[in-house]
Amino acid sequence: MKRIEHAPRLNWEARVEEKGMLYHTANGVPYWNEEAHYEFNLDQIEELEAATNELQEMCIAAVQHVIDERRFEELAIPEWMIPMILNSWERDDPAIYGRFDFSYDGFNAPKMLEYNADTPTSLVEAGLIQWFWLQDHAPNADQFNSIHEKLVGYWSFLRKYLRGQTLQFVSMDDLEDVATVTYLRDTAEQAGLSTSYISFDQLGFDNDLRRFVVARESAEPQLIDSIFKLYPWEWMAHEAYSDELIETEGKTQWIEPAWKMILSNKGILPILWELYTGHPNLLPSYRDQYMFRADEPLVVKPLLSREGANVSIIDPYGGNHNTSGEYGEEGVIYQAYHPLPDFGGYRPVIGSWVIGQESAGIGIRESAGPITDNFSRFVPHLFY
Amino acid sequence: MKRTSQITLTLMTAAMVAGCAQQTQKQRVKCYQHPSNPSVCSQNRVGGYVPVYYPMFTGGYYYDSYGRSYSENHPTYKSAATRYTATTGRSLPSSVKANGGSVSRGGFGSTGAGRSVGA
Repeated sequence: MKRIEHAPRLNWEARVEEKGMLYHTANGVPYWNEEAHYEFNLDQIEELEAATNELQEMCIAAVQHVIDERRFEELAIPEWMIPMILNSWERDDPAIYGRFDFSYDGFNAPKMLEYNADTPTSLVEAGLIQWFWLQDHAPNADQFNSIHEKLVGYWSFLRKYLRGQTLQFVSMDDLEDVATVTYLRDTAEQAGLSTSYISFDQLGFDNDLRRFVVARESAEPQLIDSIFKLYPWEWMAHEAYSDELIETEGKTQWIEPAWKMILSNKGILPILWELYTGHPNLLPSYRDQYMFRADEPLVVKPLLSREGANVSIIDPYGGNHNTSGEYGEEGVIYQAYHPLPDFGGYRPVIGSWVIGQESAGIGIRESAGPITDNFSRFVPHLFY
Repeated sequence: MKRTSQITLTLMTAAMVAGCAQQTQKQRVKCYQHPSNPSVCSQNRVGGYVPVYYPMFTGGYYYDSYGRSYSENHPTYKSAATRYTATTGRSLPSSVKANGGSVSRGGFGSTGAGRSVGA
């Protein structure tokens, strides 16, 4: 695994924009960074693929364990959401994607930092933009990236399980979120599905029919049978429509399904370590800090934080690091500190995508600091 | 084996985004939201539609941005806000609004306002 620097394509902004990435620069700093790429060999790619597939199987088993043992309280999952989780699991409601975050240096086994199983982003960069970059930069090289065709393939597989004539998509009015949803819609339509988009302010509830509806101001409300939402379950569980959510359980098909609340929660990390203690792709993780020696570096992670917010590194040898944010009231977990590899001052996190239940490719975000946050930059990759 | 051989796009088309790249952030969002209608990116667009929803309550009737009444011949809209506080005590958004006589909206999205939902 190497980090190789080079000049970007001359017209890189236009090149990524024409493929759908209009958020390549934030506050004057490129978020999409093609002044470098990471190079892997086939063995390393196969190691990442194998780890992803094995961890996915372990995660599914961990969900079953949480359900069987009723360990929802450890995950701060509200009681009123439990029936919805159980039913979505029993029905095997459709789940389309997730992204493991790995620390990996090319020599040692990839270590799972967390699993973004509910609302993972950077999908457009990983599935589309870096693939087109490869065609321009090194068309004879390979790239661990079958995200696009696996999305199309999985939507096609799900067609017979989706309810209604139209798969509704909903997101916040945020540029990256809307782009992500548009890309997912694109792949769904290529699979033969009929799709439609609304922002959250157009998601309504019909109090007569007792169903969620599309509530555009210029049209009659339309019943929603199946809906992909780019919005975390843990937020939905506490917002005003939570009563309606529970009332309509089984009538509206939500993607990702409610059981993803178990996996998108950092509380799954101690449970995985408990079930698979010593697994080479896991880091020791506990709910209690005293399980670590006083001189052992560790990371404190809120159960529900996003984009690296409110993460603390407690390192007796290397100093402490903290990120700010609004999370942590729900509780925290403690994970052994496994520093990200350092490639000339750049520290990459491997985002390893799962489409359906299968490893589908990687995307890399790198930061200058030890914690990957929302200031990280996406860097493409290739392998030979 | 691990590589997509070809990518074709329909909604994320070059025509759609190329016309939007020079626009404001808000207009870019609209480009994605209406991919089959690139004209939404035109800053010079004129027309009767006001892209802001602001229901007004006047004497038992709701009016939308067009000035149309929605609550005629519909059951009285029951405030979602009342129901939520009474039954659950959970967080209450300030933006629950009526669209039609019996349709509410705005019950999701309050936590995500102004921050990224991505992980």
